[in-house]
Amino acid sequence: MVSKSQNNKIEEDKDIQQPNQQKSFVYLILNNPAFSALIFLAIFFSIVSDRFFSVNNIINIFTQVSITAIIAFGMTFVITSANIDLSVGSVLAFAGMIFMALSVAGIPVFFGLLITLGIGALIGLFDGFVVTFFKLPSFIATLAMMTIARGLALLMRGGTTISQGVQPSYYWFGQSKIAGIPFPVIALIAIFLVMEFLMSRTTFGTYTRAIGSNPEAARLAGISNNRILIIIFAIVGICSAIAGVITASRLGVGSPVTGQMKELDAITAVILGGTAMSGGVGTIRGTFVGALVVTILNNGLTIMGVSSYWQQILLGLVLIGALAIKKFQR
Amino acid sequence: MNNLVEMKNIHKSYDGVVALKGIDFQIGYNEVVGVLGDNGAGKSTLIKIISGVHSFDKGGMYIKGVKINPKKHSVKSAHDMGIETVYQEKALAEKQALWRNVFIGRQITNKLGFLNIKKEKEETDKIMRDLMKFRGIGVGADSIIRTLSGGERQGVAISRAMYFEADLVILDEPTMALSLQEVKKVLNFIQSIKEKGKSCIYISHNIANVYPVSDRFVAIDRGKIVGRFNRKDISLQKLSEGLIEYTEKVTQNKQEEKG
Repeated sequence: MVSKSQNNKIEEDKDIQQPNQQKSFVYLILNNPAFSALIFLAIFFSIVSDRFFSVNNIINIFTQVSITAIIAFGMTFVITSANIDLSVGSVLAFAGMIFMALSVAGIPVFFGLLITLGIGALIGLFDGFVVTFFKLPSFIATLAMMTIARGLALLMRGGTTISQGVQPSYYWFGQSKIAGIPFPVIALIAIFLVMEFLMSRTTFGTYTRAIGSNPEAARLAGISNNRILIIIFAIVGICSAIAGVITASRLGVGSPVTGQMKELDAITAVILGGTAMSGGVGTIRGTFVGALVVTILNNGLTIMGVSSYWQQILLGLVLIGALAIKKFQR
Repeated sequence: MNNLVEMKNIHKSYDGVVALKGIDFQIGYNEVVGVLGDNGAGKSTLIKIISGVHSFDKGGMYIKGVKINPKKHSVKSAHDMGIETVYQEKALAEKQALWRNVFIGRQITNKLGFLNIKKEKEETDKIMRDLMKFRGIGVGADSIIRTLSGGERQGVAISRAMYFEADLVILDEPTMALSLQEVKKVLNFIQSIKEKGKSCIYISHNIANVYPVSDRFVAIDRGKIVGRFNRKDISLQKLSEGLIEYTEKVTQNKQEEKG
């Protein structure tokens, strides 16, 4: 029992224990339900299918996870700020179409990439502007953007794909390998490191959490909430555009119907990773684990021959389950 | 000019609603001023103008003799001029760790702008040891604000103001939702501000709390200053009776206007 005496200095100093000091990386991971789910799924699929635990399939999983995870990293900032972005899947498709159209137009790949990412950023800035200046809930603003971006993607070639006359250099982002590792995996790791750093080691990450936790307190502390929110939406826009570039580049085709329901994958990954729907709490590494769970679930079920219809149903149940578990933990 | 803050004929309205209608307000060096008034009287607007959260529409404000440009005054520039504000209840990000809250809005960063988390935690521990006197109660730099009591939270907010060495500490309803013991701690803190030669603006509904620690009182009603008193000249009883009388008169007038 801690005494309130003020004289016994030695005893008091001993009592200045930090209860959470043992929060090492391992501790954080073990405390993350998504990590347990990851291990469970990996063991389960290894037992039921001999094809699951092979070098090829593991590389395959990491390639597949890259698209979901890159979007989910941006989404982590959005949800941590107590907002949501439903337009990521449509922006992915639109960015893929733009990227391939630029290729057909003969633009060098470097500029093609820059312009595509710039358009992703612009879409995000627009979302952020609508949310901050018109004070629209992000749910509605990005729902509108979801249909706008999808409409634009479909409009570009009258609903058809872009596959003829694409410069080979444009395939590099999806199909090349460096030292045997597919480029999407390298991009995934690089973006993970940048985002992890941004979230945990910069004032920007701190402000993101502060806004999600208590926007009024953030404002009173002199933080420009609107500016931070607009940047957050721009980041998720860029992330979606990167995912669009990788998707189109991998398929070798710009398709206006890619990325459907990608927002569900990304949001599920973020929630599984421990980010609070109500904002204020979120980690990028948690999201990474969450994205792996979502991808392994899809990959394993596909290997087992479970239809994609059932996969959709299961993913929805996983999302509800993850949120329900959180309620119980309170 | 011998005043720390001097406000002359300050007007402020939001979206057509007039909050302040020509306020003249001064606070000197080493002075504690209690600001009294009902909800919506304009107390919060007044202090948010001083602390840089809101700008003003008309009038002049001087801090330490420097004329303030309402368009350029911000929370940051108020901080730089030694003005710290402790807001009622919701001034802390509840899901965040204590150390993040202490440095919110002015993080310790290295040359590249990256957070120096180690330094921030060390400083927070120092603040808790030296200023908050949180000892042996299981509160640490990593504690989440949500897990603290109302008094502890207020302690964090007040210590934050002390740590940044304010010349003027503004307290907005600091004793709301606190236990009697915790109220006493806050009052002691105000006394210590005065002893250190600093100034304090203390806003509260509770006249009994404001009275013993303040040098002067200012009563605000519907955007105007309606009374100024020195503690030397007026007893607590007379002050509260006077304010009650005023309120009754105002209500009567209103009813007559309507009738």
